[in-house]
Amino acid sequence: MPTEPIVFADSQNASHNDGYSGARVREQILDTTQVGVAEGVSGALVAAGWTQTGGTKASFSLVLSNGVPWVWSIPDPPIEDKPTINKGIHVCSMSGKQFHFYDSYRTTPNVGLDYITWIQMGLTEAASRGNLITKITNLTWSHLGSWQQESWPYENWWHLDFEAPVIGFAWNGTNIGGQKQVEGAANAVGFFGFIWMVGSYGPGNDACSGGGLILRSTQAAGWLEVGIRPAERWPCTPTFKFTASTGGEHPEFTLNIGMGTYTIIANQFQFFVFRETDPYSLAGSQQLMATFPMLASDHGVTYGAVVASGRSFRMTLEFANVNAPCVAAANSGLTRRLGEYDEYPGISPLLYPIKYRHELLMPNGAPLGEPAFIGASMNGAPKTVDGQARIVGQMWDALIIHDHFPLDARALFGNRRMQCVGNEYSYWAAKVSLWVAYDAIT
Amino acid sequence: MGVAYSDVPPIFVPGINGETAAALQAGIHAAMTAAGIDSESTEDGYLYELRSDQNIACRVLIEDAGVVGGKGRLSVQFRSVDGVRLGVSHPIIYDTDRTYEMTLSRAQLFIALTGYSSDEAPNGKWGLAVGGGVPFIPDLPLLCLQEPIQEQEEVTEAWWSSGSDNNVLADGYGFRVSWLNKWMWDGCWNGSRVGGYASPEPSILRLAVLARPLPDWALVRAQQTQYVNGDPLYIEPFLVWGLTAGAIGRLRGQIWDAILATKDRPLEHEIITEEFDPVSALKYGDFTWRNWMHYQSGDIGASRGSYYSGLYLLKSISGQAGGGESNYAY
Repeated sequence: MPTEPIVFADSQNASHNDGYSGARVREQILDTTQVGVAEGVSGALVAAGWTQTGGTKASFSLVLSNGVPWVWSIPDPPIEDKPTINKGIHVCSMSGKQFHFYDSYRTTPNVGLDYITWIQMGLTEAASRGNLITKITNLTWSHLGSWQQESWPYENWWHLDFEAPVIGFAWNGTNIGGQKQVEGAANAVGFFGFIWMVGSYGPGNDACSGGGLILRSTQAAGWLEVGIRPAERWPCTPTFKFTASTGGEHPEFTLNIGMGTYTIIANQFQFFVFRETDPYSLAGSQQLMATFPMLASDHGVTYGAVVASGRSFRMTLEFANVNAPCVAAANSGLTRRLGEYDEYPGISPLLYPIKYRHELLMPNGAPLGEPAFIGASMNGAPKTVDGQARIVGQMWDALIIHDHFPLDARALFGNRRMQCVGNEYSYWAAKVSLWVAYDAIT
Repeated sequence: MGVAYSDVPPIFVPGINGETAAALQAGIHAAMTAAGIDSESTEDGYLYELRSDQNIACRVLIEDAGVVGGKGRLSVQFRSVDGVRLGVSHPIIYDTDRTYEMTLSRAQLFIALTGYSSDEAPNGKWGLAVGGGVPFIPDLPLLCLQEPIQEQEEVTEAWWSSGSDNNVLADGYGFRVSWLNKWMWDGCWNGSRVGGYASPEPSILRLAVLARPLPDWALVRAQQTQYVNGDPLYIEPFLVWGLTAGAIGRLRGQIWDAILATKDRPLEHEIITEEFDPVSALKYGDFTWRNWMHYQSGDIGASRGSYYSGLYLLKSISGQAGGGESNYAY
């Protein structure tokens, strides 16, 4: 009905969310590692009401083409005053925890080094291998395992598969130790080579392990899922893979790590991840937004979703430029939208702007605020009216305020605590900012 | 969105004879009287007082201005109650084959040549529309910034006007053809009146339209705001103007009994809505809205014209008459 009220889409209002309840969450992700970021985002989404529908356990494979080092001979007479060593033969490491072999007949390991797990060499290669397997298998923070001999013509190779005990993120990174000689041995023995991890392209590459969670947001119209996992190869950034119930593509986005902490604001249908410490950074992927909006079902919308990264929402509310990769669905599956603004109408939130680049204020200087609509391109056809983005619904807990504000500023709007997550800086566009509500700061 | 409903619904008066000054003036006067608007006679016409339900008033002088440039015209001039601040004189041409219609209430009036906005109307495409009056003054919007709390000044005077251009270059502005005015407009706020010029631009009277960020390039059409099924959004017809020449316009008020579609609509297109009392949920009736704004003469680009807008005025109510107290439905 044309005269019906346009209301603030409140994710916690049962008359808006149709009973698909959740919570508003705002968290700062202090761990800057890729697992830390993945865990932080997934933890916030679960707290907000996204449900876990699947996932994988982290795993890696250790392939030993020449076995592991073992003690060829017991010294006679025994060595009384064995030197203390700070490193042995490095087999592999996971999340910075290293596994080193040592010859107990000749050396004493420095057990005070908490980043090294020492493994005693056996008197046979098989015994050493058994000690390694036992040590890793019995770790409380890790794995189950299995091992097998490779088949011909690699029957002398051993393939050890390790797996995290639960679905989720296990390790920030793994690497192999490389080829080594046994300390103290006269000849080069017990070296190992061609150890590789799942996902690595070859020996010597620092491989990041897998593991991940699949989280789902659900409405009556369907669902939107995000699969979160650490990357399996350099640069080891967490990846976010989206799937819609309506099908389409399965785009992946990443968040850079090691450049500062992230903040996430989420509810059961939507989330924003961004770095408050450097809001103007354009380098790499440092923000991610996904929304499964309050759909305009009275206006022909059966499904809608928008996911955007890059320069999106922090610096522009128009997502159709080369620096703001995005995917969207408008009564369809997810379709990637990335291109020049003169090629794709793109994905554009409804901004309630004025044509000219002015703020819109009340006479007393207070800026006007309106609920934020979001549009998605129907078919991406360029330069045609049919290709224009159409409104699919309203962003949850969001307002467009008709003035610029410092990024990440917080204020009270309509008795809701809100944070400014983005400004429209394009010179041709209206002077507006995007605000999202949160309930508490943690 | 929120509709600013008047206590007494507006009336729609079609078929006003615009062929002579006397007929046109008589028809307008009859409509104004039927709407309950007070008047006093002047030498060449009438001085009316428009007063909103918020007890803010202005006056409008409608009189025979004689023949200018070969065209006979009435002059429609909005002004302050004390007569100190005078608006532009909007021409309403009378000539053969001209029939006018009015939509008016005690706070505002809209006069238009039926069937025409910018196309070649009988005897010229200018001097064919004017709207104006006292806007609804909204309270600090619910979604406005609350910290720090800012008091809104008392509004003692507010009025506006918008009319078709006074020359043959009638892709020319005014709310009959565009959300943006050019020459023939006024905005008056608490003793400060601006208007009657095309620049500096930021202060010009306009409706706050939804313009998508993408610019209107030569090869790419700027986007209209609409749902997947082509329906426009309907939003408040907010009036924006600056206090002084060059000052950035601010939201001064809202047109009573009107809604703004976010895309171009056919001239005089009508829609019917069901309206309900928000408290009792009883149905008021079927409301008929009529689009007052459309640029007929082809596509002049999104930066002008009605590409982003259709201004629907409440034409009639069937069923239970009246709406009781002013009901800002938000």
